[in-house]
Amino acid sequence: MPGDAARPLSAGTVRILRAAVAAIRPRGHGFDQPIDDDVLRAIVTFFPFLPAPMRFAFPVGLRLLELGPPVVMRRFARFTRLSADDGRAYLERLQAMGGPFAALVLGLRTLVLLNFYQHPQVLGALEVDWGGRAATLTRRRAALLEGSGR
Amino acid sequence: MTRLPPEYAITYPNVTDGSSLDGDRTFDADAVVVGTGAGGATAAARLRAAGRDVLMLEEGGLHRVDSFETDPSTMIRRLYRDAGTAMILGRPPIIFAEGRCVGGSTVINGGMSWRTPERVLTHWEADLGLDATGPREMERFFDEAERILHVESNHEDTYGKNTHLFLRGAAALGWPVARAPRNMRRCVGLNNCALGCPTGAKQGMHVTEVPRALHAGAALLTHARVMKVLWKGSRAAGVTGRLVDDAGRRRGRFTVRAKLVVLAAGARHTPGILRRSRVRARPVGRGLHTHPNAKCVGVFAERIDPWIGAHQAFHIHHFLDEGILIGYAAIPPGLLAAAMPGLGPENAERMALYNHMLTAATLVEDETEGRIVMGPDREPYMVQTLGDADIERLHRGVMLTAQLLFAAGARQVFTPFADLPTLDGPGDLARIAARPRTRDTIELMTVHIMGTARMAKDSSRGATDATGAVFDAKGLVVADASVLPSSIGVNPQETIIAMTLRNCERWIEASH
Repeated sequence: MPGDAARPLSAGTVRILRAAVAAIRPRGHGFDQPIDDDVLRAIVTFFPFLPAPMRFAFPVGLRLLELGPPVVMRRFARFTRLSADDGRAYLERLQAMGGPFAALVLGLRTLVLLNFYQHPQVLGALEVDWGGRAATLTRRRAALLEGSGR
Repeated sequence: MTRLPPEYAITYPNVTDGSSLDGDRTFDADAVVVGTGAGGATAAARLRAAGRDVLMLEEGGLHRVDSFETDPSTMIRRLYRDAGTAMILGRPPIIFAEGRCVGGSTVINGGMSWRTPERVLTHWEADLGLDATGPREMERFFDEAERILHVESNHEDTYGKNTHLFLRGAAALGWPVARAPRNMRRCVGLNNCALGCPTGAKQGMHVTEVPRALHAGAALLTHARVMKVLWKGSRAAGVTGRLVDDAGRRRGRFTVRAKLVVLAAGARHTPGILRRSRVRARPVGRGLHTHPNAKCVGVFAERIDPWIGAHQAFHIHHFLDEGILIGYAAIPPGLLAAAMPGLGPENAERMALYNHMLTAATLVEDETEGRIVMGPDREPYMVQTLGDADIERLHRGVMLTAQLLFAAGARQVFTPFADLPTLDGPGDLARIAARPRTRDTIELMTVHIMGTARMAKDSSRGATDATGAVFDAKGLVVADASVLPSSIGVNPQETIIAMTLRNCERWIEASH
């Protein structure tokens, strides 16, 4: 079906993703940057590049995740209504259960942590400047090759 | 004036961007080469040099060296198939990554250029009966592969503290280290190999054989995803497929008519294309080896800045006869964090020590054969459940890797076992041996799959003959890691190129 990869995520799916970002994102230890919106935007950008089965299964899994707290936590609330701490406890319990929901949490965790720690503000806090080093070393290599006549 | 590396000046003539085409398109060539990685680009350059009219097809885009960045999220989307999310199904599941761009996985690999171990070549020739695959006959092809790849070792000025710690650990244990031969031209130690080398140092196919073939007159169609081989009776007559955009959305269809079809789409998709093309022989897709790797992260009291310094300037091959290889790598924070236990503050507490972490990994030669199965969507899926011997080898490899990190001075080591996440000193190493062999809680990944259309003496044992030609199909050959007859235990890039050079000679001779 042409255009299937470009189908935008629904508002409901984005709301669940926002709650997942809040629950998973690192906190404390110098990682309190207010960048949840940027992380969410980066995850949504990633989505069209996932393989087709994952693009279809992921939103379905998120809907089930939204409805899971009564079963998993004995809390009569949706995931998006939980506090960040309770949401994290819920995701940790899902992960410990194994199976497809653990895989879903693993996928969410990977996307959130990847886009959180690579955010320029976080890289700055970590004192990691890979990009700056790339520019410097590219020039250095050019000079070395020119000097050696290679 | 700002100096730029010579790779920034490389030009790519005769390239058509398939994502800009609509409707149905038909092309003609003497030879169509499906894939532009180590095997495909090498085959294309050789066939063109032999006077063939060659068309290369690549599902991904052409990304010039000057477009490479250091942001993993951006580069994974651009250069990796399925945004790096593919999985080998089994127990344990294994994360699998491969390139989907001009140059294929040579754009995103670590540039390791090891020759196939002699014992493996001897096994192919003596035990499997594959003529002229022994060490002596293959030597000239390895020489040629190393010339193409510009293989050299890292200069000392590229070593970071990561390298020095790795060497310190090995020295303390009395383990010899091997200086890694890598396909690079004056590497400066940026350590961005897995996201594309923006300095131009890594001599992947995107800066070597692809432009060489293009300048010699070959053509390249990007964003072209091959679905099937076309047939005239039992003879391959070309391929057909879809034009796609960067995200894989369908744009149109294409057909290439050619007398020789070279499949070099990798050990997952080459058997997938064969299966979709009614090549039903039982060995197609069987014999999958994955060379899985498990990582350990050592935490040191001193600051290491692991992102500074060359990628894997050394390996430990001391345990290669046991099927165990040990290396190290710098992993960007966003990718390393996913391998650290915990969410929220727990993950933050660990990642705050990022600049004190050294990541080392063990790669194990797997005995268990997996396979490629076709899903209901007609896409190939990889399946392999590691056998007991492989699981034991994996535990020994992890134990040795953790031992090396402690010997280098680590005060704590994170393991790939979810049920044994940390070791707090060398005294804890025994806990690895004592760990129940639960498969589901081991985190593994690989970038080295092979063997799914392997060469064999007869069609009951392999999908291709001793020259990489598909049995019972004229004009259809394979030039990627699919043809490797067994697990090789080292990074496969140079083996793929050497085997392609060998087989190309035979295809060209046979067509005269």
